[in-house]
Amino acid sequence: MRGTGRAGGLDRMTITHSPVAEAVGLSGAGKVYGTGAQAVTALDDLTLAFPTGTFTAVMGPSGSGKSTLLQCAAGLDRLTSGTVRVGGVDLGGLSEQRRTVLRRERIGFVFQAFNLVASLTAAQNVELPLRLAGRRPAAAAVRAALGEVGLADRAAHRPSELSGGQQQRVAIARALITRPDVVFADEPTGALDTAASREVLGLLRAAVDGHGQTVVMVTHDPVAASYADEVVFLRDGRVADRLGGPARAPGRAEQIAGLMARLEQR
Amino acid sequence: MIALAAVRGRAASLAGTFAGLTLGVALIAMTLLVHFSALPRTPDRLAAAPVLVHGPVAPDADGIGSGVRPWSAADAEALAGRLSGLPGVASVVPDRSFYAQLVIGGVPIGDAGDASAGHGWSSAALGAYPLVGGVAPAADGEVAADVATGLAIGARTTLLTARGAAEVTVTGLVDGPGVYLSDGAAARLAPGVPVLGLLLRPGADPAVVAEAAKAAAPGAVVATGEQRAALEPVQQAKTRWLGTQLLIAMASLAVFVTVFVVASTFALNVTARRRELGLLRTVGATPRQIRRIVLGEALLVGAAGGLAGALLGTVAAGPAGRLLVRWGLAEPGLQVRPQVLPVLIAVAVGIGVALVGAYAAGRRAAKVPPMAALREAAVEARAMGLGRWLLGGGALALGGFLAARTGTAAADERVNAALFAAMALTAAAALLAPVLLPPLVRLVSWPLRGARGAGPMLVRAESLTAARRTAATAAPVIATVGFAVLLSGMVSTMREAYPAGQAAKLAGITVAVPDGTPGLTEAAAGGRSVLPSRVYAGDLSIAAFGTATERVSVAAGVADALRAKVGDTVTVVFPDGLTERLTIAKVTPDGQIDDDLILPRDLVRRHDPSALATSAAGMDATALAGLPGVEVLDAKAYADRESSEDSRLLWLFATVLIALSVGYTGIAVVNTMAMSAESRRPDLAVLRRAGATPRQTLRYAAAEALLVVALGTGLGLAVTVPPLLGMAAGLAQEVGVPVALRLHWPVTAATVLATAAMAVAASLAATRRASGHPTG
Repeated sequence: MRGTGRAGGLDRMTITHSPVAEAVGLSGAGKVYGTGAQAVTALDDLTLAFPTGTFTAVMGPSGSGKSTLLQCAAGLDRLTSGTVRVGGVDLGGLSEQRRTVLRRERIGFVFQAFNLVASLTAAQNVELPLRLAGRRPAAAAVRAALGEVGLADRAAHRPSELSGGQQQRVAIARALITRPDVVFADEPTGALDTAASREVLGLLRAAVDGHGQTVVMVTHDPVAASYADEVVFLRDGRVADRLGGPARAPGRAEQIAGLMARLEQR
Repeated sequence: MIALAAVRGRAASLAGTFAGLTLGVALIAMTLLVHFSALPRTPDRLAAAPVLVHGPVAPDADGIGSGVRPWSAADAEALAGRLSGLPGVASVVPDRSFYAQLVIGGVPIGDAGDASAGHGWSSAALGAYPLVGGVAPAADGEVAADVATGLAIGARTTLLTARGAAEVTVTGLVDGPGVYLSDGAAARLAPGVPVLGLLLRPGADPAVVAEAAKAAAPGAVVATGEQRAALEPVQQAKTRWLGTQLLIAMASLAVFVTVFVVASTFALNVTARRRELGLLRTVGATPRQIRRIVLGEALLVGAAGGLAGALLGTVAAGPAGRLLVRWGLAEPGLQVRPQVLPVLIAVAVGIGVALVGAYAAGRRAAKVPPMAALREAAVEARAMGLGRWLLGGGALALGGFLAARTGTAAADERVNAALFAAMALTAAAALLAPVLLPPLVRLVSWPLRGARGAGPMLVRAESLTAARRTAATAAPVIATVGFAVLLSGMVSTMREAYPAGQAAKLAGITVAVPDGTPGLTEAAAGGRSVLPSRVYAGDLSIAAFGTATERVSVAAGVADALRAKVGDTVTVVFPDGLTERLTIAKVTPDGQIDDDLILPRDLVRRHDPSALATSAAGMDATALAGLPGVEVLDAKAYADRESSEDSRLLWLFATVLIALSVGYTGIAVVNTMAMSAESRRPDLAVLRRAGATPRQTLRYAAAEALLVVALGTGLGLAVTVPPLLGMAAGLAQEVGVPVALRLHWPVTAATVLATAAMAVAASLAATRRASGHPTG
């Protein structure tokens, strides 16, 4: 069922030929940086699917390929081999222009920091993807999006007038306003204190539970990862381990930390 | 929306662009307003004739001077007869102009440059100048003088004409400028008639009369209204030409430097905003949209700067016009009027310049990958991109080639070769600064490497690691110092070389020169002096010089324009309107002075009774004593006097251009300093946490700014001195005496000090601001 508030839904149906169970899928994905002796393999024949309406955390030691995974899955970078599909569309065959448009319509982003354009207000930052797509954002929709992240009264503030946690919440509102197929979050709580982290993770969780959104989050924080339905552990560009649900079960963060520690010792 | 918000949000970093554009548009608006106000006007003394019939206006080969081809006395009389029969015409006045100047108490009065103040009495009617006392001059020895001279009716006074001085009686006083002789006397001093003025009956329509006149005077120009401005005096056209040269130089400098300022500030802007641009790309801005955002910013800043510049330029135009008048580059009557069109043109140029300047930055911004948003810290890009290497290397190769050529080029090409060599080398130094500066920094700071304080270490390390930033601040310094040294050095070297060469050529000879008059009379100059005149051939007006020769020789350029070669016969019209057939005996190469057309002196004198010699060499001072309007000088004094006007103008141009460029690069220096301090905010915070006092931080910033200015000055001198030495060698060959390179130290020092002061002030202000909020 398509949501009624979903702008551009008709266009999307013409591209999407079949209903998809996976929001994002990688098959046989490989990514090599450099050539010859200096070649570094960041992704090694990785096959992975992120099902629609789930919250997945990607963890792994530094250099495990988790950032590369996120960049390639989001179409920010190209694979050396294999395919990526977002909402059933193969990114490999798309031009930079087409990939940009696809990113705009189907993917939302939340980074560790510097998510917002400093010269724009919170409301303007939220409506940015719609404006870039040439659409006139409805004031009510923007207000509602900010309201959902609890910042309705901060609409006219610029990023410098917001706390770090508030800035991340604006970024989440922006990532969700297009009702994307998937939201990629790269260490979204990395620069926040515990309370702000909890708020941000709660919002991501609510997007999945309340709106059926798909969230893929790269993190090194076991507490953050404990909010996810599934945790994928990467090592040397491959899936080293997986941990299923349920999210936020008691003792889950400790369990994840233990798995991480084992991964790093091996 | 994004562009607008970006402009609002980063007003500080766009201030440099705004200031540059404001100054540029103000300069362009000012020069255009002055230029449009100084356009030719109908001379007052012809303004009362609604219809003027004149010969074709002929430009000379250079397109600078021009003249109106005259009719002979007989042709003019016949034409006047035909025209006076037309319906509506009250009378037709043949207008003659020639040299006539009154001498009161032994001193020639009036404009010393005016060789055409004399007219026949009937011409006074063309300006509706009334006789305010006495009677009109009717015979030889009678004149009507301007009432402003203070002469009384019946007074005896001296009149200078091309023949010499003569005693005359003032029979009448006229309320208007000029010296009026009887028509008969005028016809003998200027037999040719360039203009016929038509005075109309009451109620006659000038347009109707003009149509009839066209039919009656085939081949002539019939002018009414504004068209009559083509008859402005040659002297005025020359003055305006000189003024226009300065205005063009100022306007083109404004355009080029503004493009430079906009391009460099926008480039820095894009570098500083990589992360933000990456974020925009990530959330779905296409490269084209990014480019449009950057260009949109340029458009907004351009419009704002254009508006401010238009106001500033309009305000400045009045004083600028008065300054031009004072410098002798505009007619005293110049009134600068506020006009819409020139200001609109200036604003449009300003916006265009902003877009052109931002174009490259927009392209670079569009290439920022979305992943730039993910990176934690902005990494200093490679010191030199491939394009910069190519451009810098190309400029260096070109400069080297040109500098080498100054050694081998023909004498008169050396000056230009040196100029271009210096320009190319300056560009090369600015472009290659990121690779040139680090070794220089190491060299300069080497003696300090053992110093105990943190200062030398910090300054050295900062300048070395951020090569591109150091280069960005040094580039405008290199350009300013190079430009100032080059222009001032060139002018001061030329100012010495030309008079020295001239004096050497004339060593031991005395020269008679005009004193308060436009030229020397036949009585003073004698029969051997060079007699300048003007002849007309085809559509062309040619400067002719009567000399002690029997043969006709012509400059190659003029020969080409006439499509004539040695042995050919060309038909020319002289100032008296009569035609002669000349057989060309010799074609001389271009580039020598006063050789467009060399004719036998007596031929020129026969056809131009009012021609004046400019000087006469080998004159005996005692023989000329007591003659009005003559002065006898020795070789050195003559050479200095000859070049003084040229060098005054050269110096004026150079000063104006240097002042402009220092002001401009000041903007660039201040801007780059401010922006680099902004980008160092985190470094400053670290420095403060590590225990640097605010005073220390400021001291380091000042030291770094001074180091950059010192290096820029060194490179600026290094790229201009060798070409200047080449130019001095070329000049020495040209003028035949040794020429030493003269650097103008006061101008050079003032430029360096001004640049250093601006750089340090900007760096201190920006550092103080940046360290005020020590969070990243």
